[in-house]
Amino acid sequence: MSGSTVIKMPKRFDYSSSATFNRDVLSALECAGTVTLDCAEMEYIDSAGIGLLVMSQKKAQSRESKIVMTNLLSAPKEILQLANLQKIIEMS
Amino acid sequence: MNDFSFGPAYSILVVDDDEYLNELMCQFLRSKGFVTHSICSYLKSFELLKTNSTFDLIVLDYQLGDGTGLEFLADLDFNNKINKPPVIMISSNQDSVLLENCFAKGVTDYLIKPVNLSLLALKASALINTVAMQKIIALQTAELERFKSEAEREESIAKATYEYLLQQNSQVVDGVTAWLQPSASFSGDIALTKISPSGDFYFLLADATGHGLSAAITLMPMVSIFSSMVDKNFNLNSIVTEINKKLIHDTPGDRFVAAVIVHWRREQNEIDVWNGGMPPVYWMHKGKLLHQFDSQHMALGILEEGMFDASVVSCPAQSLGLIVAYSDGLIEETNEDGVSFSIDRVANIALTNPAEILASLVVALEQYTGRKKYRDDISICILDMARILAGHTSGNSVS
Repeated sequence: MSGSTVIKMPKRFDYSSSATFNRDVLSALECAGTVTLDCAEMEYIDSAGIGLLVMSQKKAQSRESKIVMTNLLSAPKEILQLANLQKIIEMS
Repeated sequence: MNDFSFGPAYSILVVDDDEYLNELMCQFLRSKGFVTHSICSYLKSFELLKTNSTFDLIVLDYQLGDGTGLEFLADLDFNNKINKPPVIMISSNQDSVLLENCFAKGVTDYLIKPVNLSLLALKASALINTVAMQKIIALQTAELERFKSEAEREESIAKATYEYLLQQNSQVVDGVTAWLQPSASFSGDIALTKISPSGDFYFLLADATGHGLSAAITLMPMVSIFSSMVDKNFNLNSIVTEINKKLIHDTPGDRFVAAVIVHWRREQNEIDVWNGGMPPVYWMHKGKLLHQFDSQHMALGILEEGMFDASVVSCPAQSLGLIVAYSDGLIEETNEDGVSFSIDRVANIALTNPAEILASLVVALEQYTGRKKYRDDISICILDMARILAGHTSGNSVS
């Protein structure tokens, strides 16, 4: 499997984002080796958002794909690092 | 004249002593799909309403010969307070006092003679639809009230059960102060303290994904595991491994629990801390930071057994001092410019107000956000080690 798909992350990433995010990730995982989450506009993430990222990583792993987060702003990056998400999702 | 019709077949009572006009109105209304009932005197209509009050609308002539429209309305009010149908009054009288009086007595609309039949039918349809809609809304409101009341009842039962579970699996230990501010009825944060049979002190602060009941449910398995393993003097490593295993097995994949657990091993006088996904825990003494326990792990319930890291950070407890732990709700709250409260601000407040850390943080948060009600569950816990030790050595730490 090869290729890459970019998903643009919303300004606020929480439980209300779940339907759209899960649909986009599933769709991206059908054809991509790497799914890049462009976080340039993401200003806020909560624990439910982190949960969605964990789930997406598990789905990607089961399909031998991977999730990468890019362009993280400092506030959400601090939250993600607090959760040690960098242990399972690459952040650049 | 446009050819329009209405359905379903609503029934209209036409009360007019002018038999010709009465029949004309009935015929026209029937041609538009209404079912009509015709009455030509006040007394007959009164008798009819006593036995049959299922009309959807009444078209009422003001001057009935043997009575007036207002008398009729008074009877209608008396006989049918609940399901009173809307009334269109027809009259050649345009006197404003009379009109005001009619509307005050419950007339819904008014038509001046000679009656425009198309307008009558249109008004009839609009009024019937409005009343029908009001009835639907009233029914739905009643239904919603019922659901709300049932949900509140079930929530209160669930809350009592949850609080009982927490109470049964935690102890009140002198020297431990916890400020838990739930964003909903249920808190997704819990703080538990317990002394093991060998005298070790355990503290757990956990923050489950999301808020409310769904977050609280995720916390339930870990509460009983924590309590029962402390009762058996298990070390921290074993406790977090067991809780993680349980959460992986029993909760959905997007649900997990960030937690910090402190184990004060009395015999060795060492403190073990496991921090997975929680903000830094500060150990301070006289306004100086002795140690900062950063989150070194992912939250509980994410990583499978092979990947899970249960290693703890251990420090000798040579000095006593205070241990400050809090949930991420505190640092994520924002001011009016959208800037978060931040870890740095919490650390600074804690270090500069060593005697009143909790009160200082609560006041600072309120001033910073301009609110007392917060978006996320927020917890702040202070462990005063000297008091915990004093309580323990005097044997009254458990209540």
